[in-house]
Amino acid sequence: MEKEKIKAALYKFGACAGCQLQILKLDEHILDLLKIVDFKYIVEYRSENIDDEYDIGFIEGAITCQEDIERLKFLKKRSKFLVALGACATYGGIIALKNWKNINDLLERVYENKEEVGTLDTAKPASDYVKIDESIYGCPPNKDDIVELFQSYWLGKTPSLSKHAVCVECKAKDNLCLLVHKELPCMGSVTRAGCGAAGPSVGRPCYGCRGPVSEANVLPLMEIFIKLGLSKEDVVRKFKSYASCNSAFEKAVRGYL
Amino acid sequence: MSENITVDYLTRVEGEGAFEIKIDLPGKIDSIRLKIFEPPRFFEGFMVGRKFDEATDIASRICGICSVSHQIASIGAVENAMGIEISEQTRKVRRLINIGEHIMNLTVHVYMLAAPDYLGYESIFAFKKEHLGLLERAFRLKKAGDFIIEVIGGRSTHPMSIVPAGMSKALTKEELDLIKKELKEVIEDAVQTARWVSALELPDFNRECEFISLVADKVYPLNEGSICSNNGLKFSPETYKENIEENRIITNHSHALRYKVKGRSSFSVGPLARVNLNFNKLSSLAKKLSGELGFKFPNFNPFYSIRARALEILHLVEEGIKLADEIEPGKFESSYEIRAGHGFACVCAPRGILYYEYKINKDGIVEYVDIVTPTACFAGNLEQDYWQYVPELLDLNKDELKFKCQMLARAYDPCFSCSVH
Repeated sequence: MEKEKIKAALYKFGACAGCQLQILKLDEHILDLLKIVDFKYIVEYRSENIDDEYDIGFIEGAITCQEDIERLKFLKKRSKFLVALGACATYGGIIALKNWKNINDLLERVYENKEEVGTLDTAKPASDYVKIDESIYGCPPNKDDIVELFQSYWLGKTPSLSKHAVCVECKAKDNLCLLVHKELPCMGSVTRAGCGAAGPSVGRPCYGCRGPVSEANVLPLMEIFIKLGLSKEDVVRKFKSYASCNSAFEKAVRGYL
Repeated sequence: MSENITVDYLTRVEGEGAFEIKIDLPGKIDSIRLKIFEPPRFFEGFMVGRKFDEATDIASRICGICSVSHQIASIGAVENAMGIEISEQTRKVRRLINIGEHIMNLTVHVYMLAAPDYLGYESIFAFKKEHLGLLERAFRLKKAGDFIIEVIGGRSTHPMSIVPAGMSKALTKEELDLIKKELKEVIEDAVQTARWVSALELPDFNRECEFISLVADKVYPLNEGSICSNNGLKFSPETYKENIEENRIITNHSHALRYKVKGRSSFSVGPLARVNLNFNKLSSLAKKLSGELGFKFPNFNPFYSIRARALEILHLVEEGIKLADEIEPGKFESSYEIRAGHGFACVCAPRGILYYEYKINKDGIVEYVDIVTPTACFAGNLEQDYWQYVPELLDLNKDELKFKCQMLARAYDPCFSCSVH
């Protein structure tokens, strides 16, 4: 193969490292991926990490300390194509729950000498600081989306990533609709598909970890949840979970409060 | 003349950590610092005000590699707080999904994080043809572990079926048979893993320290028994904080809290601690193989942990097969009432003991949460190891010294994201 491999880098920020683990979930197919990709910087898996110009830079995690803003800008400068990977990088993820609290309260709960702690008041998605070229959603993201991104880049086409709601995936699997038949507060109708309806397939109402589907009709769903017997606080908590930053969920929560 | 030996960003470990060694005169170490610069995420802060039935899903996000362990510990503390009893069926299914995670985790560490050092590679991505067979073995074992989590939990990272009082999905006979089949196919891979690690030339280092693990009467502990040590400790999760002292004063912007045994010193947790304290509970095949390969437990060489991991992988594969046989398809959760309470749990995560504590009010809202992770527990012990190990390495050139120090960190398999959370 004459074509040069895709030079990729993955920077971890405030994260659980579950997103980059999805690369390892490719198992033996990693060897196939390595035919078109050279991971030049991925500290958890390599010892030789190279500062270079990259074709694709991946952002894992949310930005939650000053040093990470600098590192993010550094990665941006060196990446032709910047990808936000996972819920934290795209919508703040679970750790954006920090943003709804007082930072001093948080610090005092954990540390006796909070002045030694390097932290921003907020945990924000990368898009708050730099322009992002593509987003791969999910907590965790689907490894197939990561492969689709690389393949598309290699072929010079736009990646085909899910834009429809989780409901489509439930229907495809013949799942019993938890909202309609079991009157459970399932967020699938407003959540972006791509996980194979992981939650509903094991009897759990979707909790929206992939963030909102485009044109999500959130407020009416919140009203339905109230009709099912949830309290207003319950409903707010549901949408103030994995995608509470710069999303239709955030907008709905703020409108609802 | 003084010298600084630093590794700014430890590699092939999870999360953000570094070490810095200051040497004053040749042979005199001024300071050794393991610096965990992972940014804090404040789980114990923002989980306050969330509800008991979402706490476990949130806590799962502390770690993507050991999400199941966090879920098992969290749900245990929630159920303990609210007085919820689980059925034997639920206990077994949760043990099985936990086994899946341990198999996956231990395999990833042995073959993908540690093995490159022993084979002279900087990563698995660099493996040449003659070592691809090892990788294939690793993938088979890892896939078997991931498969169990996926079948039981819907997906292998942040699975979704662990709920208060039970599991949200009942397993079918087909699923249990599939799990058994997958595990049976990797028994030989697990045996070969033990043989492979027995041939590795482990760095020679020995420091007696306190090892802490769960120890149970009849089983190899994942979520059973009392918290014990080789120095006479024996306590239950409710008295964790009376036995383990927490230091909430951090230095040098190193964000993980530090722990030691009250009145004593740092301690080690993890696979070596587990095998040191529970060797006789391993499967007969694992014990037999250990004897045949000349393994010696208890062992105080942290590098020996790779052998402990190999024995655990074999034991857990075998136990998974037995459990899948025992679990009755189709039955699951019990009912419960929301009530106030103060709950505790301590489980064996792959990297060591993991402690959860919740205070829940009468509306099921979390008012207080405390989490102590294994890496936070052993960070101090790793630093103590460096104080003894580095003087033994001063004859080496700087690069070799740094390499050996990184190898020692890797032997502990730290998860720095967990340690700070």
